[in-house]
Amino acid sequence: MFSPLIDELMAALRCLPGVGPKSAQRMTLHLLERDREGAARLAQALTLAVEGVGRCQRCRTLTEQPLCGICANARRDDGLLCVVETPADVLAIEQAGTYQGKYFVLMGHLSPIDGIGPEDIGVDQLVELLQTEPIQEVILATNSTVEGEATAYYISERARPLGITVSRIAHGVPMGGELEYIDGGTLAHAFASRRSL
Amino acid sequence: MQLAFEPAYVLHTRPYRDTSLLVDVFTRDCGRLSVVARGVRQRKSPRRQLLNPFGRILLSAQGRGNLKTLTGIEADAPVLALQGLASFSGLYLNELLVRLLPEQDASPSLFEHYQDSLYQLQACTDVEPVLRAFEFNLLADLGYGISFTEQAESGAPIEPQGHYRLVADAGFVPWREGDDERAKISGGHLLAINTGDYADELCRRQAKALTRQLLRPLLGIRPLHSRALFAGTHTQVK
Repeated sequence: MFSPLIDELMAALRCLPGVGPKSAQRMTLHLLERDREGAARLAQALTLAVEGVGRCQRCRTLTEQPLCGICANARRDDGLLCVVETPADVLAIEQAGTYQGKYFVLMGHLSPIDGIGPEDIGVDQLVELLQTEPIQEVILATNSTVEGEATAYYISERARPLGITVSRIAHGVPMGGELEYIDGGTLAHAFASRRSL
Repeated sequence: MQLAFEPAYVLHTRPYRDTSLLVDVFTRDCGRLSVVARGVRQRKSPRRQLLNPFGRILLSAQGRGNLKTLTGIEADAPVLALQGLASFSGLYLNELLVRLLPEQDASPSLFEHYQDSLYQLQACTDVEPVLRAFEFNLLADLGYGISFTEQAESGAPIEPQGHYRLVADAGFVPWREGDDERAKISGGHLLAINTGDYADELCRRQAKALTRQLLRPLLGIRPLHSRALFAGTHTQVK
């Protein structure tokens, strides 16, 4: 219906999550009709980001520098390492604002049926990090799913022979949560890992 | 086809579109099915927690083609807390089922055995006998079962003192001088495997080799990825 360039732009926008044909059309027309400047800026930012952004050499999170801001920060505690599944998890923990150690981002979790094994989530790189840096404790903050738990167990098995404390984040009743509405699995977990006051 | 409150286990889930999941389930009366669960990845969806492996659910779904649409889900039994090696083993069972079980081929007995295996994995420290029993059971269910008490060609009973070797798609035949030494299995071990007695170390290794040999042609060239998990743990599976 439209000319080839416009069609191509609409098709390209559909690679974004949540964007179907109608949204893509709306975005395309908005950019071309009303916001040429914004469109140019978007194009430039995309080009630069795609070319420039890679992985942090140390923690595998996304960054355009060799070392990401957190890894390069000297005021961070070198003795603590938090292992998470995605860069979004790093952001979530950073926003909580209590953790002062460093991170390691797996970029996924072990999932045999999908063919994702230990080498795909950088476990070897993590073990190397544990051997070369003065890390005293590894905090496993993978998701509380079957695959997340399996990933945590696998990493703990690899880290334990190195004489490093391995801990797992707690699971249980959320803040402000009412017991009545919590599912059985979470409650069972909360009881199993209760602590004395 | 319409399913109403069908007992099932989730084998695997993967993201689909923005808020949905594609779920592989193993149902008691309809075998393995693929179900699309719409909208369950939204933040507040209570159903997401139920769509995890190792918990029995009651599944309602409808649809004509191979891909059904989830219409309802309820917890039927508490989710089993498989930890560590048991969880790897559970994932291994799931991978076997996803890879080998044809879709919509009902097998209530295999379903019961899968469920028993999960409970045994939760309770025991030695996962290997559970895995071997499940593998032999799965093979039998797929039509590739072999007899551990009778010889393949003659039908004569397997003697505890005799030595045998496996012939693909047939069963065990007497081992003779000149046959491959590595394929030699004693009759006593075969009878022990038949009764699920894996106390003997050699018998254990041979049972593992047997299941691998029997599963290999069915699995094709793609390896089973859950085996890589066991390899990395230092509490090695013997």
